Amino acid sequence: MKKELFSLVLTVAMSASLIAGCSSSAQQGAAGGSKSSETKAASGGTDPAKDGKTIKVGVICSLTGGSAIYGEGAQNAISMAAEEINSSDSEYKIEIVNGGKVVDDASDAKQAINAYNSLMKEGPDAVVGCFFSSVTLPIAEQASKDNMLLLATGATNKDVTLKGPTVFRDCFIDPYQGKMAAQFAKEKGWKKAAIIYAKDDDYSNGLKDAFIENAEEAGIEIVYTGECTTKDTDFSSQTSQVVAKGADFLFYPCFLDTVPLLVGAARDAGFDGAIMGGDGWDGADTKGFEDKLNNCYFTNHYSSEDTAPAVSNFVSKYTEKYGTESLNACAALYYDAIYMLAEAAQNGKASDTSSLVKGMTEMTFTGVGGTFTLDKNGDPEKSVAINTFDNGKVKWLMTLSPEGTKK
Amino acid sequence: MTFSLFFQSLINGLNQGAIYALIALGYTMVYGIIRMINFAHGDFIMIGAYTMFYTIPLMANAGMPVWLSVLAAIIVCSVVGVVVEVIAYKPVRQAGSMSALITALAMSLFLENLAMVLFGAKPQNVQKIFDLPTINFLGVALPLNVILTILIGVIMMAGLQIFIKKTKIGKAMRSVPQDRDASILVGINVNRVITITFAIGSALAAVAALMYCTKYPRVTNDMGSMMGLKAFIAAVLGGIGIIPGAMLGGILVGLIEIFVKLFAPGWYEAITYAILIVILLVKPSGILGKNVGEKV
Repeated sequence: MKKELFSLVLTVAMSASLIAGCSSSAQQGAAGGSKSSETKAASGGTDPAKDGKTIKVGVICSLTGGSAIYGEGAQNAISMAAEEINSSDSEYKIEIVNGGKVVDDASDAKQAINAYNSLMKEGPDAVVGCFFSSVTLPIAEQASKDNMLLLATGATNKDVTLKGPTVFRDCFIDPYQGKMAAQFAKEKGWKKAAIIYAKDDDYSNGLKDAFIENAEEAGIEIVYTGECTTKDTDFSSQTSQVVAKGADFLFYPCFLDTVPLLVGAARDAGFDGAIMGGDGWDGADTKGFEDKLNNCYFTNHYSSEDTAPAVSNFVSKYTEKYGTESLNACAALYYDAIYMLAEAAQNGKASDTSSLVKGMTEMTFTGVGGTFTLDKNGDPEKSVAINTFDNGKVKWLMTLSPEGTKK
Repeated sequence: MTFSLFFQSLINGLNQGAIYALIALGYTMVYGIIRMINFAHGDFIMIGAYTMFYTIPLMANAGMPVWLSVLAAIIVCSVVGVVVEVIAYKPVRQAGSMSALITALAMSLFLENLAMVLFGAKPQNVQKIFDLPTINFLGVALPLNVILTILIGVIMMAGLQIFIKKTKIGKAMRSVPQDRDASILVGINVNRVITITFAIGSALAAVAALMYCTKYPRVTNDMGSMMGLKAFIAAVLGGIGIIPGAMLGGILVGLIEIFVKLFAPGWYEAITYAILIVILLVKPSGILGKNVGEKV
């Protein structure tokens, strides 16, 4: 009888580890259909057949999982950008392949390669995406093998553009965001920093390393470095350590879905110092956390409250069409990406991949993300927006440029 | 380690442990009666949490007290539990424990994916039903929620214990696993007893959901799978089928996790699963386990 129980429990334990292993991917894979808002065919009257004036673009983003809101923004933004370009007097027109729809990467590297392969069947001239570094890295590898132009959007890991000369991006890179966070902390006069980062995530590791490196240069002491995983819900131990070590600044470079839990745990543990994150915080659900999010900050690619004309133009048009819920940095970056391709065709004087690559290399571009020049790796050097929270609403605090504070 | 950090972690561990214990009670309840590990139990918690997520604003708008949504969650969870039992578990009961186990695993994945279709994959913040203040106790932040969670756990455990020892239906529940045929002979409706067991076990899941959402106010479709596994380990550690064992196991697992996380945050899951392996090797019947016949 005892033996029977033992073997039963053992089987259970084994099967249990089986579900633990596969439930998350099963969950991510199952939802194919997502609520992409109405998408007009982006060809805008031009002949979809190759006429040398149409840039065929494939777009990849996350439409399912905890970050589905990014995909929604991306879908709206590319539809809007393509429509605008096609109805303007631009010589080159944009056609979004896959019927004008974003292809889902489910925030998963394997799914992303599938998404990329399915796009390649449609013979695009360029691919735009993805938003996450961990997902974009394998695609960048494949794209450089295929000699395909890949314009990465939110992928901030520094290795992405090092994969090949046909890989570019329109966002800043991780070390840069960690550096700017350290610079911000220095300007604010915070001296003792604690870090909690997700060790199973490339993005989180990248920001953490850069922050540590630059914090030391800025004279900020790192008093505690704690790990977590992207699946964790309990942060009470790590945040108690943050308090015990006497930190006045907590850096949490992780993604939006755990931000309320971390901030809640930190405040419950009695931490009232500043908590800061990267662009992964953008779009976090703040309902019920209005008070706890006071004195929290994050760096981002742009702020919708920025007063630059390119930004306000984009914000007003987007809001009118799709509302503000999905108006995030992801939307802005995908929007810029489509415009960059049109400009690259202009520079390269044709719409095929190699002309686009030629036109893209070391281009200077002005868009929602500011004015920037792509360096020889294909990375832009640009200013970051620092946002804070006011009663749960994201509020633009300042724009920090590499040389120092701007306005 | 300073005293305040130790004490703070003790509180955090008790809080985490009390939640595991509440979930483990449901596992143990069902296992004690029908010798089946209901893997979908963690997902009943998810259903309870979603019920609260949707009913709290309704209650608030209708001007009714928000705690009524806990009742709603208990009712929804019990109904789902009974439906799952009748539709999926009852037909395979004769086919042996392996079939029942596989059905339970399938049911767990089914509920998670169904929830994703119905409620979406985006995590949602749940409004708190009660927000007890955090008091400063000996220089340590002590959320009163913790005490309430532990109190609810103890009351549930004592209540269940009395219910099973003293009431007629409780006695019937104890007799079923001992000898099913003899139970039928003395006039016990075995199927009804099992259905009631599921109703109670699922109601416990709703209470666990309440305490979970007070500590981690967020619902996702897969929240139950991880919590359920940890609670399962807790139930095995304490001795599966033994009600006080679930409580003890839950608290222990919670404390171990929090203290491991304090110094080596990367290790805590490895340690938790290692506990399961060790306990199975050393004492498969669990800390409070004696011989099999006496369970529940």
